[in-house]
Amino acid sequence: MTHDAQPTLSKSPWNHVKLWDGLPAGTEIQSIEFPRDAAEGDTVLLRFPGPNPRVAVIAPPVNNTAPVVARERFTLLWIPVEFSEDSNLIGKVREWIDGPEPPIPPESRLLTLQGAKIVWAPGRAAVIVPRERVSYVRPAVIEFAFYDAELRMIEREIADGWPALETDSPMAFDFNEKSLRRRSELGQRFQRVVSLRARLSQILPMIHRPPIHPPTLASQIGDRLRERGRLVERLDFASSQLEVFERVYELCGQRASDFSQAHKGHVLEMIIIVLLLGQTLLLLVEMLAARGT
Amino acid sequence: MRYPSIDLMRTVAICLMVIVHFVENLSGQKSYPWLPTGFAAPIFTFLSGISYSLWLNSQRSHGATEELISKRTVRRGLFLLGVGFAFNILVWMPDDTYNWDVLTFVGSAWLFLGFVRDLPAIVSVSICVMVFVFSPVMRVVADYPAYWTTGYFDCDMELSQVSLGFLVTGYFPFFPWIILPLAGYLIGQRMLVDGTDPPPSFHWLALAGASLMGVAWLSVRFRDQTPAVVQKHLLKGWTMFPPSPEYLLTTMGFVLLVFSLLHQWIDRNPRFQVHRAFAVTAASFSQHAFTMYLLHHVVHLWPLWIYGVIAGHDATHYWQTGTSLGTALTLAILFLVVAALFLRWMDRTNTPGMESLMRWLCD
Repeated sequence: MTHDAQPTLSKSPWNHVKLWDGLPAGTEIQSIEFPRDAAEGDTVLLRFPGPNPRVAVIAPPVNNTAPVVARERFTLLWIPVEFSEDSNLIGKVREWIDGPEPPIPPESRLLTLQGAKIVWAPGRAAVIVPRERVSYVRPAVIEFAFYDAELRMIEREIADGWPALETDSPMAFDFNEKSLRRRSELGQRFQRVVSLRARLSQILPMIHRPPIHPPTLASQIGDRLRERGRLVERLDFASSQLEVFERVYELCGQRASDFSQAHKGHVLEMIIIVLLLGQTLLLLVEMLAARGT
Repeated sequence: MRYPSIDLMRTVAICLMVIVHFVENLSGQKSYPWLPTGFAAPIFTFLSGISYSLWLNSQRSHGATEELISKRTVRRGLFLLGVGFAFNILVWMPDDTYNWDVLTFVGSAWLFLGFVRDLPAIVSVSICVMVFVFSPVMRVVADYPAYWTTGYFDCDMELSQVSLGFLVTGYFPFFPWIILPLAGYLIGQRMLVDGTDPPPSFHWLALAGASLMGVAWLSVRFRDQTPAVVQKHLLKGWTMFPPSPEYLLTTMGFVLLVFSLLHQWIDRNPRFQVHRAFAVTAASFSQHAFTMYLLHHVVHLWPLWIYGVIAGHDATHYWQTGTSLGTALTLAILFLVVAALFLRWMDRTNTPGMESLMRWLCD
């Protein structure tokens, strides 16, 4: 194994942790983004077809003031190795992945398959792989990173929506004039839920994809990563949670619509009653005036 | 929550009321350009609607049920009505029991607001418009001038005339004065709501106030170009008795404009610092407005009645002729200074006023 090259640190959003000396030649840090379309000059690593197509491109460098975890980006550390390898490498890679203040328990997961070692955590991964297999492993890791990031984003938005759901849930049962002021807000939340459901549905076929036969290294890595990342279970959980949101906001919408329609009718009725009362009072005044004189 | 803008408006209304009442009742002078007659009552009645809205929000936030709120509203309304009648008898003499002064009106207004508090805003606005349109017609039908031949409201003690006094012909009849507390209530419910982000905009309210004043100015300006029947029954110029459409539009526009601007500049401006002594005095006047209303009448009318009786005349012999304008004005200012000190003493010693009595009895 050769230890004669250093990766370019300035290109990494993960450079708050210094890479260590003695990494193999060809070690590379890639910051990957998943825009809808590649811009001119972007290096396209992978394309994701479907109703909401995306591409994986190498992101431009970020400076040191960027957030520690760039949520829209995925940081990938490629370490191509020979068959003999440094026994301390995995430990150092995990330390790099977990960052200076690692959570307890550590977020990083180690996956070993046919000589490829992948240390993965949300938003970043390090791949230690024999040089000749890099081209096979890369698409599988990037594909998993994309779907994991999508699912994480959906999970995060669902988690952020719970407090609002707690506040809004009474309106699923009882809607009144004060609630009417929040109708557009409820509408926006319902649209958000529908959008999340759509995004979930879009990644569903890829996550539930049947295993390829005969298996390849890339397909096996993809399957194992999906399994270790518990994508299928997380997808089910997210779907179940979204159902609760859908149920509440559908009921809110129904109540709002019913109330709004009834309200318009009631207002007209009340105005008619007010006019009739006015007429009655006018007659009363006339009658009293006649008696008074 | 206290709103310094409301305290300030109410304090100004109290000062205006005291000066106008002292000057009118002691010296009989009414028509000086510097004497801002006709503004205190609209401010008071408008703020009574805002007070009802704040009180209602406070009741709801403390978990009071709607039934309990209704009961308390009725008790408060009846309390004000009762005190209003007692005040008429004790201060204005039994002949004026049913003169339908401002206290009895505010009592009726609270009862009415309790009844309409949950109506959609558009219906309440329709009521305001309807009252505004119907009131001049009702005055014509009721023959308003017949009750004001002596320059003040005078009716026989019979049900029809007393009822008409309450509805149309009294000092502060339900038609059209109910517009002001109802508008105050609506604005309180819409604007003075804590926790709304962003806070409701007050620009439209200021614009509405300015527009109403503009319409009133146009009505006065072009009154002469209108048909005689309109001039006779509708556009009567700036008159508080009866409250002409021009008067109503002007005062309504004035309170809306002033309230919106003060609320924007004072309540919502964290950098605005009112002098502490001034803020305390204004809060004190505002909290004891009810007490002040009764007190200033007792202080300047009872001596007048007593002196009349001692001098061997009718009790009201010296009404409007008791003192000169300068003396009346001096007495009014003196009263305000002493009242400010007295109210501060009440606050320091927790001496109950009429407001405490109302809370104790009704809440």
